[in-house]
Amino acid sequence: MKLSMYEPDALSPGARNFSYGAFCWLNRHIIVLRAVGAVLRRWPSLGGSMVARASAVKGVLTRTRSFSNTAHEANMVSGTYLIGMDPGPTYDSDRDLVHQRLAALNVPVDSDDEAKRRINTVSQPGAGAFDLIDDYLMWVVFHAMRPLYGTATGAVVAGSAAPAAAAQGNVNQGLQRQYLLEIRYVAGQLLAGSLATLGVRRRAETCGDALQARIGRLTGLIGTAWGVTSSTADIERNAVGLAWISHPVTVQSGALAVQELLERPKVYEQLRSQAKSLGASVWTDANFRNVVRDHVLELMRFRPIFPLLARDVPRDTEVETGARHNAKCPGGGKVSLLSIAALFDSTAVPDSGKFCPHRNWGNEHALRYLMFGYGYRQCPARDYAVEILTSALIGLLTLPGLQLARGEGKAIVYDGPLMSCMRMRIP
Amino acid sequence: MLEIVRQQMICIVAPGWPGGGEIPTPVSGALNDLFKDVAVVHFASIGLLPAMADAAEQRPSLMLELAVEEGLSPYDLLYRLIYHSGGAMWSLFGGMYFPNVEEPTDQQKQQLLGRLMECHSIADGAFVGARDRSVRQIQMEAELLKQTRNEARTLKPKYGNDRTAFALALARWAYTNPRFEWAAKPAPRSYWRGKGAGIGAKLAYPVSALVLWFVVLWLGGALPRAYNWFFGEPHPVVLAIEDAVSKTSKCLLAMSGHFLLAVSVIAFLVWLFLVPLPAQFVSWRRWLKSIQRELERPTETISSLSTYVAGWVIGVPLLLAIAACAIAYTLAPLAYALVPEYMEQTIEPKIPKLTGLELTEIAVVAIIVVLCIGALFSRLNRRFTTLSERFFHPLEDDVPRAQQIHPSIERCEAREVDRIQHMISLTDLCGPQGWSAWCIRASLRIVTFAGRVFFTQGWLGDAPGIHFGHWHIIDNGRRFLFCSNYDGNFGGYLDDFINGASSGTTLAWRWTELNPRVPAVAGQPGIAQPRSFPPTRFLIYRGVKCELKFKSYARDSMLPNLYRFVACNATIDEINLATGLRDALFGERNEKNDDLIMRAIET
Amino acid sequence: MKYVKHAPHLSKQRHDIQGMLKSGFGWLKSSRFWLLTIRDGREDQARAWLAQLANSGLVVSAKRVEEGKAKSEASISEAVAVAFSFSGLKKLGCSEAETHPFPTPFSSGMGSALRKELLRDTSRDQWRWSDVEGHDGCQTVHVLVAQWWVLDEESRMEAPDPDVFVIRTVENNPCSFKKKEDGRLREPFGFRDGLAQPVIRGLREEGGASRKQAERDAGHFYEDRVVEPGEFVLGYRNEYDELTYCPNVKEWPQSGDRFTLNGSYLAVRQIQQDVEAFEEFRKANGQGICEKLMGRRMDGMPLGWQGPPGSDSAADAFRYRVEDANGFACPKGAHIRRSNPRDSLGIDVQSSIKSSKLHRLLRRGRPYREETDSGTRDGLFFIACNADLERQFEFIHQRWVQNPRFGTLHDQDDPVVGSLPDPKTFTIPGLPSGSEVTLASFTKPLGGGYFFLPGIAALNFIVRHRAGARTAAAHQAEAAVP
Repeated sequence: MKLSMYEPDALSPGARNFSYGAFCWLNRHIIVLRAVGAVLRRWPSLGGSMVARASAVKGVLTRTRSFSNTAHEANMVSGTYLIGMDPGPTYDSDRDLVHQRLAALNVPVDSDDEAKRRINTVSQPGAGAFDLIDDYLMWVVFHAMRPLYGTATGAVVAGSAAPAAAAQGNVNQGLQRQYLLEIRYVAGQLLAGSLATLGVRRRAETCGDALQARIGRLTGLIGTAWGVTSSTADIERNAVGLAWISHPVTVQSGALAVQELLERPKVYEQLRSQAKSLGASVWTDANFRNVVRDHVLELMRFRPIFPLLARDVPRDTEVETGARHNAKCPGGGKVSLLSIAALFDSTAVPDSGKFCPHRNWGNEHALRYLMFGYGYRQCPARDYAVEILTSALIGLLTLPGLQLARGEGKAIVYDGPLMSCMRMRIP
Repeated sequence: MLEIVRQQMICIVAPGWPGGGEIPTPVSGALNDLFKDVAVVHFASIGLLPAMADAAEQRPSLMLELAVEEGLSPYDLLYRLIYHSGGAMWSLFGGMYFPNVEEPTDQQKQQLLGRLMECHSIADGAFVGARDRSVRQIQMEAELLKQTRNEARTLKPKYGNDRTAFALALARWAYTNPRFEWAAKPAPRSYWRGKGAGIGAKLAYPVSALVLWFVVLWLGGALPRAYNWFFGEPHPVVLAIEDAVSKTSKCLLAMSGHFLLAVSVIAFLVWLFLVPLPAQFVSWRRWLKSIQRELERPTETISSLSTYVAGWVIGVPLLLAIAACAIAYTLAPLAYALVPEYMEQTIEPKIPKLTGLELTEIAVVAIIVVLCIGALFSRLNRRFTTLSERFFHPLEDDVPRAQQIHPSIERCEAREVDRIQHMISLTDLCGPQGWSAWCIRASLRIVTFAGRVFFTQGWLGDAPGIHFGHWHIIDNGRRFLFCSNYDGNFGGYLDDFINGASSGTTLAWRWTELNPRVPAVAGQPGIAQPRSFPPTRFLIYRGVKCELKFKSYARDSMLPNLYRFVACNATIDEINLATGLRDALFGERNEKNDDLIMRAIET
Repeated sequence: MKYVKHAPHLSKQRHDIQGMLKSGFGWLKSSRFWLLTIRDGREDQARAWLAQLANSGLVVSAKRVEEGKAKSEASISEAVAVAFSFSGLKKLGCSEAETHPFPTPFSSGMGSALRKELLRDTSRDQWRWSDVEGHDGCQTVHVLVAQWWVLDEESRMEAPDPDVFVIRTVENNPCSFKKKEDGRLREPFGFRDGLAQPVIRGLREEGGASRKQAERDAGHFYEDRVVEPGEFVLGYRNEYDELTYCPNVKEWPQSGDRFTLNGSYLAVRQIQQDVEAFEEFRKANGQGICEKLMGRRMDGMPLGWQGPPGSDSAADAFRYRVEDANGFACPKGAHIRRSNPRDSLGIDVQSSIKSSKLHRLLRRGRPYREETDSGTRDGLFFIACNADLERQFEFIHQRWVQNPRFGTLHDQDDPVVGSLPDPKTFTIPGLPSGSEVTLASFTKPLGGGYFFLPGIAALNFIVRHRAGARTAAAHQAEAAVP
């Protein structure tokens, strides 16, 4: 159990707000990061220990002994988990558990069902605008991820093991929303990290505490649901981690993908007309699903949720950035990876600037999933996440049209670097 | 700032050594005890320098080389050494000045101190590898490293797989061990290695000096006005004085501003041609590298000769022209102040009036022309391969008597194979000796400065492994002594300098030569045929890059040592590792420190 | 303009360079090494025998080796190389010139007391031969004759006369090419040998398909192994960009090129390997630890190689600095990492590679087998060709291989050829902290010496005692012969 303790803000007052604002702005206007990445790819020596070329990024991500994931530790407000661990026995056992839990997911069936249900709700005549995140994506992903906790899901969401609340699917919507917000703020802190303002950080810490308390009450139940005999600490750690690490990230990625799609009207039209021509078999047609999946990956390439990654450097080493001299990484420091620059590296990705979902990635097939990591430490739930988003996107494509609902205020409301609300309208 | 480094390395050259080629065992034993006891001496050695051919005293000189800790003035150090109860210094030097005196009186000791102060010299150029560490610190840290390794071996079965717990256990053991109380404080660091290590601190001095200069000049100009305001209108004489003062200060300000501008423009152009253009245009980069390679070629080729000639024909006039323009621009305000009409009527019409845009256009065209020439050369090179082979093929060259080592020197090297190596090299300054001495001193000051401020991690340029390297100009500016304590072997040591610090080494030695001399005592090397330092080009090129000539030159100039004291037999890598381990064991418990401890116990 | 005289061109001197520098004669799987001492008063007979050997056409030049590779009918079935120690040269009447004497390591000889300390040999009591006067029972070798011929055939070389010479032979190890049936050279412990040889620019670089394939396999690491010819052949440009020092001999006519042009120095050591002890160690600790000791896998691929074994060129195409700076894959004290640190020792990659090229050796040794009453003893007759003994062989031996403080290691020298007294430790770095193994020494040197491998013209000069010296014109004429 991680105890969050108050740490005052070390920066001078204006500086924190300014840097956080700049960070959020950069995340929203990802084209700027792409430009920076292009400059750094061309002149790697300018970046110092920030690597931009695909070969360099792959190199750093595969050298797990020289570049440690513990850089994420500081941003994980609800305790340590796989993503911030060094390889070792704990890491191995946690990873096995994750694989076991992921095997219980029933994707894309579950996500398809929920998508259909939600689409029906929002396409009721007179329904007006809907929130892509709060009314659609959040639930599609949630429903798909229910089996992660097995029979204990209801209790986890409700926050207590009381028998009435433990029945599946009957948990109060409000309680569900509370749970989902909790995990969203905890996940948001992973992205913002030490740049976050004090208020944002405290909110995340509070939610982290709440999440740990929530899980703490239910370790026995979760342990039984999972059928494992690990210690309480292990179950808690894994349960907490599983809770916050995947849902919010998938939801945000989906929102970003939709945002990117709506900025490409031709592509959207083509997909929509294809969906329309398929009619009812849009959910069952395997070809169409593949097409949508390719589109999802390409959209995620243009708007990855983590455009910048960091790794700790435990001991003095060098990194081959592509410059004439290797960049020195002193022990105790950090190395930054501009993964979005790697995704647009024309030496690895042919025609990187074009939107081409059916691109032939050749040897660099693994690079296509760089948003999920690379090599041994790549996200284990990668394929599941892509399937869920595919279902979600198929659902959206069944709508007669989709637009950002400009009107009452802004369509997209940002909470820091992430979107908290994306109002959509069917014209 | 340089004095503190130079004082760390002292050579006492006492002429008239009556003894033979050996230091008697009781004397060397006494010296060992002395240096161990005094505990501020890192390295000490004794060599015999042959007398100069035309000196009155034809007996060899006894040279005592001391490399000591920072901050000791020579007088205090020699005082401590001479007045030490063991009397070792007396048994070594006493016989030369006061023969047949077994037990010296205090007055005699004082006289000896005076004599030694007369013949001592602090280094003209010096470099310290393992910085900021006292002898005791090095010894104790080495002990800490050894004990930590042993302790780790015993703890390994219990904590093998958990780095954090293992490191914590070792740290706890170190903390609670009474022998290592001294280590609880972090290892000391001098300014340039610690807070001043960043580029900001290094720039702070020159930038603030510059700002101060401008402020002082401006104040000088503003003072008269302030005076007038405070005291009222002054006497006409005072008024004239004030007028002169303000005019001078204005002129000086303008000149300083012009100078700064000229220097910035030149620096910008140099940077432009050396950094971004090569990074962008491959042909330019290749051409620059080939110019450097040609200028540094040890064996002549037609290409190197033609590059040299082209350098004189094109390069030097160009540089002189730029320098002349910069000087003219700097002195322009002075000229305007002194002879304004001449300037306006005769000089100004001759200067072309160009706008900034036109200047930039000219510059861009010039760059393009230069790039095209570079590309043309490489294309020619590729097309006419046979011709270019002849162009780049080495011409005949002859190096006499290379790769010869005198047996006494080899014996010294063999003795030190497991320890830190040592060398003494004695050369003559080539004439005119006053000019050579001045040039050498200037270069050595630059090298010392660079070593103190910039090269703080134990590497001089790209050359590693030097503990204490120092140069002295002795014998009234006629001879040049170099002593060094270094890791590795002689050949490898010189190779590191040839490849990593060639300009500095060339500058330090290019004004020397080797004249014939008789051996100091039988069995020591003498010089039969004179040798000169390998030829240099444009002051800093070539020189030491002629490896055969340079190594034969260095080898011929070497003298064996009769006695050697090493306070702690640890290489620079080991010293750095031990200090790092101390800081990691007693410091904050984080990833980096834990990992450092693991790497240290692994060796 | 003064006529500028070019230094000799390597391409035009191939007829004068002994073939051993161009090729290891890998297809001649039998080998024998003759260590000959000329008896007092028999110098003329010795010269006669050597002259007959030189005339027999068995002493092949580099040009002949090239021809043999190009046309199958000219392929070589037997090759001989002749080298002389300093005392051997003196005995045969060649004394060094005063203006260009031989380098001190060569003239004082590997067997001298100073060299023993400089090479960090702890004890030489078991040495049977050396190149200078040693203790009683230690033969002073004057001439080294190396012989390679096709396996299972008869050698055509005429044996030397025991009346003229004191003869010691080092015989072939018949298993050196036969283990594992892949026909590659293996040393007695079972590791692939002959890998990671430097490629001499202008001499060993054959054009054509094999070189292109080697370049492809090596990727952008190919340039790491290309070394200037002056590092191995005297008189040509070396890695410092200057011509290697060519000593001269008083009796050599001064008008031509110097005596030692196209020659090379051989650092020879007869190393006995205790195969049984190694097998026991392997049984106790496992194959993995043995491979960590050596620094390579048994099949020759570097540790950390993924996938099926590649070609020899691919086996040499790796570096340490970025991927393996701390020695987790290949330990920092492993044998091959000590003898060729590649890019790990300097301040950055380029300068490290450049300085490691200054310390390369061309290895031409072969495993040997000695039949004694108490059984067979295997070992390696180690021959390293280099042009600057102090900078290449002695440096590697003193500062890297036998240095107990190599890098930051403490009291550990080379696990395979080290000479520290038993028991020795060997650290294997790892995460979170490494491990240690205790081992005994597996090898023991039985003799050694520095030899000079002359060019063909110089060899003729030695054996014909001045009568065979060629002038510069004759040199050119012979070079022109295709």
